[in-house]
Amino acid sequence: MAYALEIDGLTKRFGNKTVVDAISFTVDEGEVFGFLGPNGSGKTTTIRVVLDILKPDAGEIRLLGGLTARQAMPRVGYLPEERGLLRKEKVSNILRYLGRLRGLSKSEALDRGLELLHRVGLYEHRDKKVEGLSRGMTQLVQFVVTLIHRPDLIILDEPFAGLDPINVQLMKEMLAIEQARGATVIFSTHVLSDVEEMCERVALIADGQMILFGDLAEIKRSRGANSVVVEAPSHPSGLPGARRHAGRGGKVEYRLSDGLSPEMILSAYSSAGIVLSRFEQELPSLNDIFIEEVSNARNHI
Amino acid sequence: MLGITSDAGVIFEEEFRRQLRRTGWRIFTLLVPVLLLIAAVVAPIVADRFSGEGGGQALIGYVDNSGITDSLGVIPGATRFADLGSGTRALAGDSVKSLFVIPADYIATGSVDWYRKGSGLATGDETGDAFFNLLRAGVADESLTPEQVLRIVAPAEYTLFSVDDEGRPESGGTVQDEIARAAPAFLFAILLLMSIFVGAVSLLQSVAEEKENRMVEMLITSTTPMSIMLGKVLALGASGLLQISIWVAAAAIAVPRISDQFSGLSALSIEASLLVFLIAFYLAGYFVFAALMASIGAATTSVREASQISAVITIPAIIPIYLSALIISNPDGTFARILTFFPLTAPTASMMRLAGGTDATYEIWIGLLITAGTGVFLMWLSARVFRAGLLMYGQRMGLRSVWNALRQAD
Repeated sequence: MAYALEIDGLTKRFGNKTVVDAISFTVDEGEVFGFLGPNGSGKTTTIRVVLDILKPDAGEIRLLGGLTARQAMPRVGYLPEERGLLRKEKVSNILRYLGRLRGLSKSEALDRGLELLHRVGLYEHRDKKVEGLSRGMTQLVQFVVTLIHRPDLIILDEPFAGLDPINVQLMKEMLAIEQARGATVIFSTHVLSDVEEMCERVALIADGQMILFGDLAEIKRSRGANSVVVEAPSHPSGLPGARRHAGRGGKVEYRLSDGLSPEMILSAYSSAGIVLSRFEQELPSLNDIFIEEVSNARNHI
Repeated sequence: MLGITSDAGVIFEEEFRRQLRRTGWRIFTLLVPVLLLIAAVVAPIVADRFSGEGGGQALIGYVDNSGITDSLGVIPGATRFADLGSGTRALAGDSVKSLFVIPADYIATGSVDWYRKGSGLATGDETGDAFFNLLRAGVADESLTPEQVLRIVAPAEYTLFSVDDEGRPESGGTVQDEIARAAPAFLFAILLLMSIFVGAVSLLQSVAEEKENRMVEMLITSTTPMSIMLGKVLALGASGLLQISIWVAAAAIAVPRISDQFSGLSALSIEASLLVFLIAFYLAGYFVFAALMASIGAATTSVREASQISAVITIPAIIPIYLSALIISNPDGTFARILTFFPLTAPTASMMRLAGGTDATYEIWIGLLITAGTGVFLMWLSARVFRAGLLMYGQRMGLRSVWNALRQAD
């Protein structure tokens, strides 16, 4: 299997502080991969090292089937977390300039740039200066620049931060098109609903250390059910250790912990003579896993 | 090599286009030709006025109570009045510009009363010079011929000879020739510095702007830091060279027109070797300043802060201009030689030494080589500072960070 990205034992230190500590993971070609972690966990530093913006203190990085960052760069599209464009320049000039730096001719850069501007609904603003655009619009122009050369690997650092829901949806749809074209998408975020919606696999880091890595569905399954949802006309009281996690109408969710098992809940309803309309074991949400794992890691440290 | 890619060409094109569109650059570039054009138009008018004044019109009036000018008879441009009252009336009626009253005890005291209409600084007033000449003619012995009196008034026009260590005189020239030879080099030293500063400060602004605008990560993942630096440096250097070319072309057209009107300037000339040194020092000096400016732009947090810190570099570069009289008058003195070997002062100091007619041209070449070598070395260093500093958004790079960046392997 060829990897779009292979990180092996990556360590990055700033002075005495280890910001990324010997992390390893791989990203398959053609997948959408979520790179998760709380604020300050080392996500952006990892991405900068991957892209050769920063030099690693240890470890190896290979992109697009074994290339170095410098070799792979013409085939990589990157949307940094720190965003901005030359404020005094026209949008079309910026597209032409940055498109050319990504290996396109002047006309190709402009043609593709304008086509993408059309898709994000900014075609009418092509002759405006950047300073005349809103923050969200500027972000979309940068997104266009990221995709302008049809990269094989797209790396997005907090891509949806600061965008309204409509533009977030627009970007997600465009990324789905890029994936269908064969591109690999890696994005960092701490908005977990985006990850659950878009990603097949994830890596989670906290304080520079790898906590979780793998297939999202498998990670959830491996944790087992952590709650039971019951729908019934009424509910028995006094289940030992049970916490009514959420309830609306006839639905109650029981957190499984401290000796409370699905069998015990079922038995309690049966003993009380309550007929169930739904009894379902639920896998943990990514949000639950995230909070639990990051808390454990920090307590451990 | 050194991480330079063909993208440097794209960056060069973009930066050059952007620089030529800057209002500041356009105004500064056109300022010199416009000033020369004004001078070319004004010069004939001024010259006509001067020639008219020399044509026998009464310029000054005087009252001689000492009798010292009695032997002179009628003097062109000077009117003698019998007393102060008639003199001041003539002054009030604008028939003379100044009135001088020579007291009876002039020989003993040397004091003279000078009456002028209105107020203002009298220093350099041509009427004062005219009366001075009148007095010198007056004190000449009556036995002297008019030619001899004229020579007392205008004693000498010097021809200068330099004598070498063996005592052999070398080719001579008039003082005007010397001034005419020194003037372009002096002027070029100033133009050189101005143009280097415009280019280097533009580079500083360009780098600082990209840092402020958070644009740099997109650039740095598109090409190498060295290509970015090289493209920017060459583009802004080329814009400076274009600026100098426009100035030189404008000067070539306008200066003969201006100098024709003034005898003292008619010998103004620009030697080809001076032009070669000018361009060579421009390039070498520009690389030194540009590399330093780019590093400051990358290491600081804003255009404003970068501009303030850049004074540390610009002040040494101005030193030779301040000390121009010293360097031109003694172009091979120890001080002038030291400044030639220091990269920040070499471009201007060398032009000054050439203006002063240095005998040690080989030292100018050494200064050029030191400056060029330092420029290349600093470019390499600044690419590293640039790479590290540009990512430190909103943070100033301390000296330790700069040192770490320089040590970082490629």
